[in-house]
Order: sequence, then C-alpha cells, then structure tokens
Amino acid sequence: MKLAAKQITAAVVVLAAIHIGLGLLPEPPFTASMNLVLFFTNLFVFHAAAATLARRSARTVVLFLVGYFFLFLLLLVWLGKTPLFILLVVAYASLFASPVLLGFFAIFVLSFVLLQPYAFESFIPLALIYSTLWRVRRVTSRFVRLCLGGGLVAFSVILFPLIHLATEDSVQTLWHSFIRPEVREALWLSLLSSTVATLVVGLWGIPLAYGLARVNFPGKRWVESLVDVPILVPQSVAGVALILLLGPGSILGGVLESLHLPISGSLLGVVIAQVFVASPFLIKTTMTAFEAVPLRLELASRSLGASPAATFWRISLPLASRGILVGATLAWARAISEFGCIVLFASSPVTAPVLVHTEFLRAGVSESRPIAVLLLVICLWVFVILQFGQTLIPFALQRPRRERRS
Amino acid sequence: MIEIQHLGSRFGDFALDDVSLRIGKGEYWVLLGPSGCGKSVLLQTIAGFFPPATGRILVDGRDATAEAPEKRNIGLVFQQAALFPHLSVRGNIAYGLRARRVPEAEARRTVDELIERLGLAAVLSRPVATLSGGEAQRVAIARALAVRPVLLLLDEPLSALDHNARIELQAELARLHKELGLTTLHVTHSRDEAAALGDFLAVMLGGRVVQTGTLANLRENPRCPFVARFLGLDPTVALLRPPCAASCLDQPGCCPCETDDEKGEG
Repeated sequence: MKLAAKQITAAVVVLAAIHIGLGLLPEPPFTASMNLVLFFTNLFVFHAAAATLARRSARTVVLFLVGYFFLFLLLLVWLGKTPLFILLVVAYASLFASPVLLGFFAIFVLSFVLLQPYAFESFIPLALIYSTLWRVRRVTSRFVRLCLGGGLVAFSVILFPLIHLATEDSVQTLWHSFIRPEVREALWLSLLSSTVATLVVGLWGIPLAYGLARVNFPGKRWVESLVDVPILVPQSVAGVALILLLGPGSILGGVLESLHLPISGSLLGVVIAQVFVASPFLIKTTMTAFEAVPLRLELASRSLGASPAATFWRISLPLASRGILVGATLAWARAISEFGCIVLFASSPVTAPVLVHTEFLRAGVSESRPIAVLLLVICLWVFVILQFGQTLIPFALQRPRRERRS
Repeated sequence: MIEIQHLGSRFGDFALDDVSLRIGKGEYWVLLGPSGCGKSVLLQTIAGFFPPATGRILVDGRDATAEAPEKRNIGLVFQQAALFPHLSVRGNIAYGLRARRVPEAEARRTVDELIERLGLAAVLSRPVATLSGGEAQRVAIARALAVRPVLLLLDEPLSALDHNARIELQAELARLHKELGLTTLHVTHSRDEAAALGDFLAVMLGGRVVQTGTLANLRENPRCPFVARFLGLDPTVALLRPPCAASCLDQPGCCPCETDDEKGEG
C-alpha cells in the first residue's frame, strides 16, 4: 500500500490525538516530556514502517503491528521500562525490513528482557542456532532442519553452564586471581606440559597412524582398538597404573630417579600422564587424514622417482596436515583438561585443573571459580586459534565445499 | 626396450598368467581388454607396485623385476590425473625433477619446454583442483614426461574424459608419440583408442595375453572368437579356428555357443 499525503497527515493527526489524550487523562501514565519523546518515537516508527511496508501485503502489516503491540505490552504495561521500550521499538521499526536481523532482534528481546538473569547464556547459543538454521533454510528439507535445530537446542544446554561460568566473574576478579603467583604458575605449567605432551604424541603417533593407514594386515582391527584403550580406561585407573609402574618404590621409577629424571615434582610426570590419556585422539584423527590421501597420489610420486620417505614428506604429510592439526588440537585439549590421572600420579607441580580442585577444597567455589574461568578462556582461545589455523592451510583434501545458494 | 617374460601374479581377484610382451624402443603398444582382465595389474606390476610371483621384467636388458618403483624410471599416467592438489601446475610437472635433484635451471628449462609442447601456458596460474579433466590429464602427462621415462604407462588415460576432451587428447597423444618417439604402453578397453593410437595391440583376457600384433594383423587373423568380437568383427569368422587357450574358452564371448552374450564386449 502506498500512502498518499492525505493519509500521512491523517495518521500523524491520529497519533498526536492519542498522545494528547494520554496527556489529558486524570492520572497521566507519562510525564509530559516523556509523552513528547514517545510521540516522536511513534512518529519515527510510523515513518519507518511506511517506508518498509509500502507495497507489502496486509499480512505483513498486521505482523508488524502485532510485534509493536507485543513490545508495547511487554515493556510498557508489564515491565514499565519506558526508555527501553523507546530504544527497542526504534530498533524494531528499523530492522523490520530484514528478516534475518528481525530474527536476531527477537532473540535479543527474548534473552535480554525475558530471560534477563541468563541473558548472555541464552543469547549466544540462540543466536548461533538461528544463524545456522537461517543459512541452511533453502538447502535442506524441513526434516533435516528440525533435526539440526532440535539437536542444537539440546546441545546448547551443554554449553549453558560454560557460558554461565564465563560471564560470572568480573575482569577485576579474574585479574586478581591471575596475579597470584601459584595461579600463573599452574596455568603456565598446564599450557607448557600439554603442548609438550602433544608434540611427544605427534612424534610417534603420526608415524604409527601413517603405518596403520597404509598397511592392511590380519589383526589390524585389534591394533586399532588397542590405540583407543586410553579413552576407555577411567582416569583414576590410569593414574594407579602409572603409579605402579613409575611411582615411588617402583623399579622403572628408581631407574629414572638415578638418571636424574624424577617423576614426582617435575614436568616429566605431568607430561607422561598427559601423553597417556591424549594419544588416541591424535592417532585416530591422523589415521583418518592419511586414509583420505588417495593411494594413487603416492604411487604417482613413487613412479616419478621419489622414495617412500620422500613421498611421505612431500605428498602424504602435507595433504594430511589439516587432519593432523585437528587431531593435535583434540589431543592438546584432552591433555590440558586431564585431572584424575595427574592428581594421583603427578600432583606436584600443580597444574591448573588440579589447582581448581585444591582451591575448591580449601576455600570453596568462590576462590576456585576465577581460576576455572581463566583456564576456560585460555583453552577456548587456543582452540579457536587452532581451528582457525586449520583453515589457513590452503591446499587440502578438504571436504567438498558446501554448495552455494543460488 | 622393455621385455616382459612369463609374468605371473595373483592380487585379490586379479591374476596374471604367464604374460609375455616385448615392447621395442619407440613403439606405441595398446593393451586391450575388458574390465577386470588384469590390464591394470599388469601395468602396476611393470611400474613396480606389485612384485610378480613369477617371471621377469627387463628394461633395456637390465633385470628390473626387483627394483623399487622410483628406480625404474617408468612414467605412469592414471585414469584420474592424480595431480598433487597442494602443488601448482608447474610444481606438479617439476615434481619428478625435484625428486631427482635435477639442478634448478635445467629443471626449469625442461618444464618450460613441456608447458609449451602440451599447450599448458594458459592454465599455469590455476589451482590444479580447478582444472578440467582434459587439462589435468595433460598436466599429468607432462609430469610423467618431465623425467624422460624409458617407458610411458598410460592406464586408461582417456576413459574419465568427456567426448571432446577425449578426441583432443587422443590426437595429442598421437602427436607426442610422433614427435618424441616415446616407448608407450597404453591400457584401454576402447577399440577406437586402440585403432587410433596403437602401432601394436595386445589383447588380454582373464589375466592372459591372448594375441599380439598390429591392428591389421589381428583383424585379418583373429585368433579366437573373443579377439574377433573385441575388435568389432563378426565372431563367426574365427569360429573355424581352434580356441587359443583352454582358459579362453571359459570366457563369455569366446565360446561359440555364447556368441549372443554381449558381455564380452568393451
């Protein structure tokens, strides 16, 4: 519908009449100045709506009005927050033309107004789910979207406590916790030891994965299953097993001691425990990555005069590097989060997860929480960096790119 | 010159049974046979990827049977070009030269010459993943030629291409062979390719080489109904001849009573 000048004038007059009427009530709901601001707000809303709703169907117009009155009832009548109403209704009128932004706006209102105490915790997952579903809206069936959306909603429940934890502490508390030497030492030790552990796993895990990916032999399935055993073993069981083998009083522990490589009180113990629990993640992922490298590329390389070792360095390793990086990220994450095995086997020096535990026992959740948040933030950042680093590897046996919407 | 003597091997469902071939210098041989007859296994055995159970492979008189693939200097082109996706077009062509530690300047000269010879200048800047089938196969051929192989093995190099690209590349292969005098063994199941390219033909069935010779030779004198059918002749012309081997008789299309069975063809 296209508005003629006459209609516009009529609408402005009606608006003015409503506001003047409100102001003349025996007990006006707003002060005069607030009423004036609201009048101009509504004028703007009308202006924006007239622009975006021109030539749109009557249904869209009704939808717009429903949204407006919903905000009106929610914010003015129920909550009585006039400034917030002005802010949101202006945003609403401006965003209405774009369905994507309108969706985000709805999520914003839902999480920041209705679910106020958990605003960030609900906004972040909901916005992510919404943007995901928006992107796939034309490429999949409704059933697939339902599976995806439902699964993501359930999954965000898992993320909920983490986001809640991350938003709990102010930057000051985090900083106060961070400048405590034992906290910094524990964080540093965790970062260092899990990085070393990942490198150690890579050193023997990558060759093992390559071998398993390239050779078939009877019983290979059993070897592959054995690689997974550290995932199956409960952490405390692994800790006890390592104590028996390398702990105080054991033969191997004594040998290491005499070589000036003490297990207790040194980085070595922590790294051993982390290598033990983290190795399957790197090996399995790397194996899949090597299996994805077509054998004929290696054959072509051999026929061109490259030895098997040269073929590995020049063809297989570069082509599998993305998968290897993913595996290393997983192994690193597993190593840094290891607690049960380390607390039994190598409780000193103290790693960050162990420190969270001891602080919790000593002073309760308020003391351990900032350390947990710091650890969470560091882990997430490293995770994000590595995930991003993956995409920097340009050549790739990457998954076929998502088909572009036409 | 490549001599294959009494090669026998078994690899899963595929087997080679007493295969002998003698490929003279500069000859273009086409190995013709239906799918699953052991052509590719023979090729990969010659390339050195499967050790044969029996028999010998002689390269210029030297016994290469036990040599590693990288020592044989035999070029190999696959059905799918099998280009290295993380290298540029130039990097792909130069791969063999790098592996052999050929000096940079000389490698550059060789690569430039091949780029010109195969008309690849236009695709140099493109990522190899974006090349069309025909372009990729040209790069693969250039890559195999860069190391000046004593023998070029082509494993159904045209099968994965669309019609136009196939015609084009077929002409290209014929031209390259004429210009460079390459010793070539080309595996295919298409008798058109065989007729267009091959100086000599070897027809294979069930892991055996049934008959060898020039196309005219084979046409005139097909050894058994199978060869006749595979060359597109009336199989009955060969009916009067004795079957070539006991195993040949077991194959569909070879036995006279099964001449209506179309399975024997391509």
